[in-house]
Formats: sequence, structure tokens, C-alpha cells
Amino acid sequence: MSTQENTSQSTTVIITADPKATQEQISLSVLKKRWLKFKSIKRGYYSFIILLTAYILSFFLPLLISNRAVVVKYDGQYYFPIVQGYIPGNTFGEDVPGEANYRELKERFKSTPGNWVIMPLYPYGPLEDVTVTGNKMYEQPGAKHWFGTDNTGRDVFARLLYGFNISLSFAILLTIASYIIGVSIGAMMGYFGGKFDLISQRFIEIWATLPFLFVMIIISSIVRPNFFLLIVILTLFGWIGMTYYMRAEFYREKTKDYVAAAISMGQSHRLIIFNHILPNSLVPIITYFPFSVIGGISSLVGLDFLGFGLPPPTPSWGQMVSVGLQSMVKYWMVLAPLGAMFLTLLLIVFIGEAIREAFDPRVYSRLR
Amino acid sequence: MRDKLFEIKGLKTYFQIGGKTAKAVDGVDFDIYKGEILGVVGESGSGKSVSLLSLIQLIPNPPGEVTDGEIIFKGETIFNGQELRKIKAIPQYRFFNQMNASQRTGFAFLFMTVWLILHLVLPIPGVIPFLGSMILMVGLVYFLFFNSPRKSHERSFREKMYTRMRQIRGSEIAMIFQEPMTSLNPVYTIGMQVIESLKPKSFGEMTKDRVIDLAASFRRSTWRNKLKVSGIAAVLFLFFGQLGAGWSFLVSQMVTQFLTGGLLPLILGLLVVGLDKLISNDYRNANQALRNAGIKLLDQVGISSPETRLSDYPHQFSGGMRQRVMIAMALAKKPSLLIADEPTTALDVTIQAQILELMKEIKDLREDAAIVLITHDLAVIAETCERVIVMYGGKIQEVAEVIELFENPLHPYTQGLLNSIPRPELQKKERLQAIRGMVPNILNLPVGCKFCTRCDVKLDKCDTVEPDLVEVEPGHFTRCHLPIDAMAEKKLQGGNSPEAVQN
Amino acid sequence: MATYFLRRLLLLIPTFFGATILVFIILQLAPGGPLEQSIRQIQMGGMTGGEGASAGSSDLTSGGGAGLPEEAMEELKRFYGFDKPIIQRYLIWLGLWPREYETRNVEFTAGQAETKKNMGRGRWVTVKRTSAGFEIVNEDGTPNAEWLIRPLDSPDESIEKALVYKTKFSGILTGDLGTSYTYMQPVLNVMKPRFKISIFFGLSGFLISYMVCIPLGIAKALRHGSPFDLFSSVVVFIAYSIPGWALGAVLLILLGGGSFWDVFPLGGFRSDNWEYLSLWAKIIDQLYHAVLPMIAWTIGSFATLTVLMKNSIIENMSQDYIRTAFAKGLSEKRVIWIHALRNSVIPIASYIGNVIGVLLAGSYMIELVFNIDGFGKLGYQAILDRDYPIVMGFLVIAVLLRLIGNILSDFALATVDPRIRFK
Repeated sequence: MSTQENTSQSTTVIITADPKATQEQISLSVLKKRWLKFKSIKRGYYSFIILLTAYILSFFLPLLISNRAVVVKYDGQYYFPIVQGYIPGNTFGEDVPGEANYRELKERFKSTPGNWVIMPLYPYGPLEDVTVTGNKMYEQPGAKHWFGTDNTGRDVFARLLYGFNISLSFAILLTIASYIIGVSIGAMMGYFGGKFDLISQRFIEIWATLPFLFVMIIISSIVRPNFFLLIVILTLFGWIGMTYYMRAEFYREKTKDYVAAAISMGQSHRLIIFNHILPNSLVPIITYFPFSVIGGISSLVGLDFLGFGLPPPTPSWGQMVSVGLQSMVKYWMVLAPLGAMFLTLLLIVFIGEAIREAFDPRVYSRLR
Repeated sequence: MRDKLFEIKGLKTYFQIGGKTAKAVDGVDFDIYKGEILGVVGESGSGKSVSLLSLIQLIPNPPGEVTDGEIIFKGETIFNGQELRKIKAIPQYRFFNQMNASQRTGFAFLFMTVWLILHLVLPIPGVIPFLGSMILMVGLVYFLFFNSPRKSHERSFREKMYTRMRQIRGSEIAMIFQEPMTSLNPVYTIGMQVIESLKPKSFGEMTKDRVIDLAASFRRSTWRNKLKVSGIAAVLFLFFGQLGAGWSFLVSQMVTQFLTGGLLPLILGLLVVGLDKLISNDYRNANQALRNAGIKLLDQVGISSPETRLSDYPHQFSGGMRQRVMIAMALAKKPSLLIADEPTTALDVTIQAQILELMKEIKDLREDAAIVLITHDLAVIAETCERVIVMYGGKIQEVAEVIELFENPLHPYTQGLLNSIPRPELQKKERLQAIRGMVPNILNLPVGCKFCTRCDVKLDKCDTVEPDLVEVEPGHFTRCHLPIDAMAEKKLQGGNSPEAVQN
Repeated sequence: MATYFLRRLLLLIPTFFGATILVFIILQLAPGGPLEQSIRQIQMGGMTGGEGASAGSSDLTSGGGAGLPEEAMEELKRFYGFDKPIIQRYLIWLGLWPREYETRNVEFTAGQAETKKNMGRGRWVTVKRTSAGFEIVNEDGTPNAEWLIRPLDSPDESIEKALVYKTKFSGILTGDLGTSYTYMQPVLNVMKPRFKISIFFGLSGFLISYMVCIPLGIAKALRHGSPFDLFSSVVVFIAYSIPGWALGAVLLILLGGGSFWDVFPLGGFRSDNWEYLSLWAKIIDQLYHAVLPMIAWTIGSFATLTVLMKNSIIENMSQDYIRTAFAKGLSEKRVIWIHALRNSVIPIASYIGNVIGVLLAGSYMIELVFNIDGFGKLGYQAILDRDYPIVMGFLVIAVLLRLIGNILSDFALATVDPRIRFK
């Protein structure tokens, strides 16, 4: 009676238990209830759907945006360049060496009945540069190239969309990797405490003072970083943030009765940490996840901007910005990729806000 | 009959919880007479606290709202539900009233997007016109979509009411809350908070007080102490000075830095003393008078050595002491009504008795002052109150003089409450007759009698028809469908008296 | 309080040594260091475009210096300190091991017993070779205590080499951060002007963001759910989703006079003719140049701070002591500004220390975008140029700033929250 009274009085929101209602509430799992709450926050839910669709679609980008045709019919034979990959131009009677130029082919086949080409929705690839006939450097945005072309004649729009997939995959993988390390170390620090905690803290402090960019530059002078190496390097520095939260969370949780019960039943430390305490400490992990993804995307774009990110032909937003900023009149190369980054991050922020609201709701009450 | 201090008619307080309406108080009428001690009893969630909080408009809005009813204080209507109802009849928005909230924001953003696209399509002359157009856009969006005449009326209504309430709060009605541990602001001294309830000080005055305090502590501090502070400051200044200047390690420079650092606290201290001299004597005297009043208040509620405790912080006080401080603050302006919302629930039993004793003593200080005691503890009611209101499900179920209620409880709920008190004279073998079931969820209370889900003597119509609060004997009201004889028959086996309960 | 500061300082010591040792080792072992870079420069200069240009960065430590005479290699190694083991180098950097300076090479052909050497600024010494070793004497024949000598390895059996040098303890503990390789000046001299610029942006950005965010957070909390809250939330969301440097780049493109409006300068800290302007014009010029970078600088903390403040106020406004304050009959203004605010500032106070470090060193991207010669850009450039003394100096200052930040945080926290005591 008195505890119930305590909690209800302080917020003046009275929720009293009805046997039927509690039965229902218990049968609904906590996660499912939170998912329902998340769904009820329209802005975040729709952002989630939009982002998820866009991300899934971005895996099929070669079907939608590519310089390779979807289907070519030539001399009664069908070709599927998207699936087949490289097809030399002379297959289709082009006299230029190298890969076939399907856009030209399409023009040419207009006059020859029986032969035709079906191009993707947007017939420019992210990697084809000025060496392909018809491409020009620094073309203004227009009907042909929606967001113009860059310093090597590559289509900005195509690179933008391919960059979306790469950035988001990168950030998600990076966040998962650094959370796995950060959560386990933070959990151990909080759970074992004492000397282990003190030494780990000093170690983390030292690790955090390491100039990350510097290590990045040195590594990139030894080996050319690729996608996964970059994730590994960024993970080396990214796991620190989560340890603070997990340490605090585990410090709090380990004093609770259910942990004492588990210990008294003689369960192993590993079991207690991962099967008992971790499920109860999931809230910070889930609520910070979107914001860590944001951090991952911005650090990738930043590194690409400085020239220490993904190797050159990879479509990346930061690289476009750094080219665009060299001369102030190539505005499309700055505004387009940063706009894409902004929209992506905005969607994630909306999702993150909704998740936070679903997992850690705040009661707004105001006296006057 | 004594004069009425308060009249509450048809008071309704609703809370919005997750899109549902919780009728915490749903049509409550009662009076508070001058000089009486009124007890309000009920389980948690019965609406007893909320109805008294509504009385002094301390309902957080949102999520709660005093939606209807009338509150009359010494003949003056301080809350008029009729007026509020009239305001609620005004359409919510000036335009597009058929749109719901999400559509409204959706259209607002659509409007802004179209405006921005127009900007992209049409040539833009410059930055200033662009900014002007943005301001115009925001203004138009507000005017078209968020212009709400009802809201502005409601705001001015509430503003008027709250302004009046703030004059009444503290000076005419004071309140003590259940949790002394959290009811005091942790970052201010007890002195500041007690004196604040006598006379709130402005920010400037608080700064002046701070200067006076600092100067006094500077004068008080021993030379040994001053030297210690100087030493620390000197070392710090040397360290950061070297850091800033880039480690020259010239002896002369180091000595200069060390001396500067050492003198710094002294200079600051003298500066404070100098500022202290600037403060006028009138202010000092007024301040000292206030302080003395604060000390007297603390002394009155039984806090020992109040002079020193005045500069302590709440975390240095125990729960009982904090509740005493709360009472001291409530009594600061000698209010005509003191509402005590479960003042003893969070305290130890021995402290509970002391606090109740204290409240009774205070009652004796001013004859015409009334006290409303909200509690779920019938023993407390029996010991202190003169009249009792029993609440359940946001409604008053029974009202009676305390002796009448204990000897002749008519409502099944009251009877159940009384039965569930452990009494020494009962045989060990006899089990306590607790009320079965649980308090219904506030979000779906039964349609008829609120108690019908747990009542043992329920009639068929109880489910659908809400009984009225009727006066069965002079001053004894009850809300039940049962005939009075049947109610009286259901009384306790052993009989009840306030004295029996007190034990 | 004294013990508190002492403990803070003591806890810093392992961090300081750990971080510097770690970075020092990485620096010294990393390929493509200053030695290799200058070798490459010399080679590039010497053989115009020949096969020397193909000398990559990774093979330099082994035999990359083949094109250089042994003599020059030795000289370069000594200049960068690579002739000593790494622990000794670290101790020298710390100032716990004597540093060699004013070094001169002496050579003895077979049979030669003594040689005269000019030690610079007209000081001549005579180096004698005896069976016991080397001996340095002055011109008048008295033994010289000022100079020291040690033998060097010599590839040629017939020629014996030695190094004449002076020593001194000069390192971080004696206040010497060394001399920059690229600027050829003491590191502190290089840092000072840049430090000023970063402090200008850092402090004013800090003040602006606090002065905007706290009132905005309060206003948003009090008008939760109103159109004002909605629209300011849009701004906050935008600020959340765009990193400072990216916003800076967008602003530059839009307002820097490229393809759109020409309102603000393209970058830089001041105009080139700043020295010749009147005082008023100086101030205007300074502010004019600072507007865009400042927006980029503050946007990062803007979103976090505003949301933090809003949530904090909302949380505190539903606390019991607020109800007590209202029950006393206090005005709404007083309850908010005196009772709620001080409690809400507690989480922000602990954030202050963080801000200091970030504002000073974490803004190299913005400095790069706006081409401002600040502290962050200096560090970035030093890493690119492998200017190790500056990198190490940067690290030392970063660690110290962290200390100051922590102490400041604790101090701010203790000022607003009396429950916290220095122990």
C-alpha cells in the first residue's frame, strides 16, 4: 500500500492495478509493448520505414542506377549486362575497344529494328568517368546529370546513392562492432569493479587521449585502408563511449536482488553478466544505437573529406565535398552529398528520438 | 454551525494518461468549516489527495486539469467551472477546425515546403528579402494553422485564476506533503527556504545575502585557515601560470606567480568585505528581522539550535526534521487552512506521533484555523479529526462526525475499512475481514456505484445506477443504494469506537 | 580540498605517462617518419625525377637511403634523434636524460694525433687522440670541461670518427617542448598565436552556445508541445543531423560568394589588411570573419545542450520541491528561475569540462573548411608533416586541458550542487 502510494503521489498520476489489466500487461512482453509505443510515434516510425526501404532498395541499386543495360537484344540474342558484368563493345558491333557503351548503343539501335536496349531508370554508373565518351568534367546539374558531374566526369547523383548504401552499412557495422567490445568491457568493469575497474579506467583514459586521426594517417601510409580495415580501425577508438554507460548500468544492476539470487545459485560470472544483467541493461544500448550510427556516418564522411577514408574510386560523400570545396562555384558537389547526409542523419535522429521516447518515456507535467 | 471557510461544489479533476481520461476526482462536494480538523480517508487512488490539490490548484496541467466545479473561499469564487465550460465551447482553431493535430502539422509543413520550393524556382534577390520571406512564412503558418482563440481565452482564464491563487497560497492556505525527503529543494539552505515562505527575496537580495555571508565567514576564519587557502591558490596559480606562459622556470617569474596566487584569495576576501560595507544598514536590519522570524519558526516546530541549522542544506536533515521544516514553512504566514497530505506516512512511527502532536499544538495557536488531514490511516483520523470524509473511486462515499462514523458506519466501504483494522480485543482465531479484490483501475471505473466490484452486499442496480450522496442523519451523508436499516445491520460485530481504533 | 586536487593530479600521472609513451613509440616506429621524409626530399632534389622518385614510403628504413652518402644519413639520424634507442629518446624528450646539442664531427686519419675544430662563434678546441680515448683541450692547452666527446662508428678502418657535443637536460619536464621540424622554431612559439585564435573561437562559441541554449531549453520546456516548441525542435533536429564542419561548408557555398550570395568572406581569421584598419573597423572585420565559423562551431553543442536543458527542466518541474515552492505562493518566474533552474543546471555543469577540450582541439575540420590557422589545424598539419615535436606537444596540452576540464567540471558541479563535497 505505502509503496504504491509513494510512487503515485509524487507524479500525481494514479495508476492502480486492476487484476485483469495487469494480467494483460504481463502477457505482453516488454519489448513488444515498447515496439507498439514506438509505432505510435508517427514521425519516428515513418522515418524508420523510409530509411529501411531506402536501405533495402540501395542493395539493388545496380538494377536501378547503372551504365550497364538491363537487357540488350542484339542479332536475335539476349544479353543481360547487369548480371553478366563486363561485355566488350565489339560484341555489339562497336569498334571502340573496352566495355560497350549502352547509352550510345540505345541510340544506334533505334534505327535497327529487332535490336533494342533496356537501360536502368537512371543510366549512369557511379564509377564511369571522362574516359567514357559523352561524359564531361564539372557538368552543371541538369536533366541529363541530375546533380551534375564531378572532377573526373562521374555522375554525382549515382555516386550519391551508392554512397548512401556504403555509408549506412559502414556506420551500422561499425556501431555493432564497437558495441560488442564496449558493452563487454564496460560490463566487466561494472560487474567486477575494484582493481580491474581502476586499471581498465586508466587504460581507457590513455586510449582516449590517443590522437585517433594520427593513428589513422599512419596506418593509411602503410596500407591503403579498405572498407573492413576502416571499420576495424574506427572500432579501436569507438568502443570507449559505450563502456561508461555499461559500467554505470552494471554497477547499479549488480546490487539488485536477482543478481544476488543468481550468485547464490552458483551461476558462473559469464552467465550472470550475459544472461541476467545484460537483458536488464539493454535500454542504453538500444537508445544510443541510432546516435552512434549518426556518429559513424559523420566520421566516415569526415575521414573521406580529409582523404583518409575509403580508397578513391569508392563512391563517398566526403570525397565529393572535398573536391567541391576547392572551388566555390562547384556548389552541387558540396550541397548534394551534404544534403544526402543531412537527410539520412535526420531520419536517423527521428528514429532515435522515437526509440528514446518508447524506451525511456518522460512525463511532462507542469504546475503553475 | 460554524462559518464556512471553503465551499467545494461539483469539483471534477481529470488526467490525460496516454490518450485516455482518468477521472481522478469526479464530482466532489464538501465544505470546510473554520477551526475544524477534517479528515479525508481512502485507499490510494481514491482521489483524496487530488481533490485537495485541486482546491489550491496544484494540479499539474498538463496532464491534469480541474475541468469543472466551483471553489468558493470566504465567499469569493476563486474557480468557476461554468466560465471554463463556456470557453471550452469556443472552436479550437480559427481556421480548418475539421483537421486533427497530425494533419495540422502535416499541412503546415506542406505549406512551408511549397513556400521554399517557390523560392528555389523564382529568382532570389538577396539575403535580407530571403530572411524577411522566412519570417513571413513562419508568421503565416502560425496565423493559418496554429491560431487558437480558445487557447488564448483559456490561457487568460487560467492566468487570472493562478494569479489569485498565488496570493492565497501560503498566506491563506498552506500545504504539507507526504515526502519530506524530496519536498525540499536540495540546492538551497533551509534558511533560504524558510525565509522565502515569509518573504521571497529577489535575485539581487540573494546576492547581497551571499556577500554578507561570505564577508562574515572571511572575518571568522582563522589565520591558519587563510594561509592554507592562500597556499593552495599559490601552488595552483604557479602551476597554471607556468602552463600558460610555457614553463620559463625563471626564479623571479616563479616567485611573482607564487606570490600573486597567494595574495589572490586575500584580495578577493577584502573585496568581499568591501562590498559588504556597501550594503545599507536598513537592508541588514530587515534581513536580520527576517532571519529572526525564521529562527522563531524553526524553534516553534521543535528544531534545536535553529540559528546554526538555518544555514544547513536539506540533505543534512533527517526525515522527521525535514517534515518539521515543511510545517514551519507552511505556518510562516499563519494561514487559515492547513492541508496535510499524509504528513506522517513516510516517517518512523515515533516521529509520526511527534508530528501529529505538533500539528495539534499548532492548531491550538490559532483558534479559527482549519486543518485538513489526508490519510489512509484510520488510527490517525480517530486520534486527531473531528469530521471525516471517506472517498473511493474519485467520489465521496460517506461524510460524518468522527464518533458517528466509527460507531455507526453506513457505507459498506467504510465498514470494510474499519473491519480491516487489527484490533487487540478480537480473538486471535478471528481473521481480519479485509475488503476483497483490488482498487479498480482509474481508467475504467465501473459505471454505477464505484465500489460495486468489491461490495459484498451489492444489489442488481448497483452496476448501472450511481447512488446519490444523501443525508441519512444530520451531518451524516452516505452514498449507497441499500436501505438504511440494512446498512446499519451490517455493522461490526464488536462495535467500534474511536478509542478502540486508536489503540 | 587540497587532498582532492592532489588526488586529481596523482591520477593524471599514469595517464600522462601512459599516453605519451604509447604515442611516442607509435611515432618512432611508424614508417614514413620525418627521417624518411627528408631523405626523400633530398633524393627528389638530387636526382631530378629519376628512379629515386619511386622510393616508396615503406622500404625506407631498410635500405631506402642508399642514394644518400653515409655521412648525411648519420647527420640526419642524429638531427631527428634516431641514433639512440627508443627508451633513451623518450627520456630525452621528457628531460630526464641529457640532450646533445651543438654537435660537431671530428675525423682522425690513421696516425693523426690531434685536430683543431671550430665549434662555431669563433670557439676553437683541439681534440687529442690518446690510447685511453679522446681528450679535448683549449687552445692554451688546459683541459676543456665544456665539451664532451664520444666515438662514432666508422665504415673505413683507417679513419676514426668522433662526435664533439654539449649536453643539457631539456625536455617536457623542464618546460621545453622541442623545436618544430617544419617551422624551425620552438614548439611553444609556434603554438602561441594559434592558441589565441582557438581560444577566441572556443570561448566565444562556448559562451554563445550556453547563452542561447539555456534560455531556449527553458522556453522549450515551458512551452512543451506548442508551435514554438515544434519549430525550435525542427532547428534542433537540423543541428543534430549536420556536423559543424558540414554546416560550415554549406554556409560557405551559399553565402561565401561562389554560386549564390556574396555576404561573408571565404575564410581566414582576419582580412589581410587588418593591421591598417581603425579600431572600429578592426572589430567589425573580426566579427565579420567570425560569423560563419562561429555558427559552425556552436552548432555541435547547440543541439545537445538545448535538449539536455529542456529535458532537465521538464524533469525538475515535476519534482516535489517545485510543488512545495508553488504551495508557498511563489510566482511562476521565481519557481522556474530560482528553484528549477539551479537543479537543472547540474547535468550541464558537469558537461563544461568536456566542452573545453572539444572546443580547443576538436575543431580541426572547421578550421580546415574555413582556412583558419587555429590550434586544431596546426595539430592536423603536424601529423601530416610528421612534425613530431608539435604532435607530442599537442598531446601534452590535450592531457593538461583534460585535467583543467575535469577540475572545472567538478568545481562547477560543486558550486551548483551543495550535496557534492570535495573529498
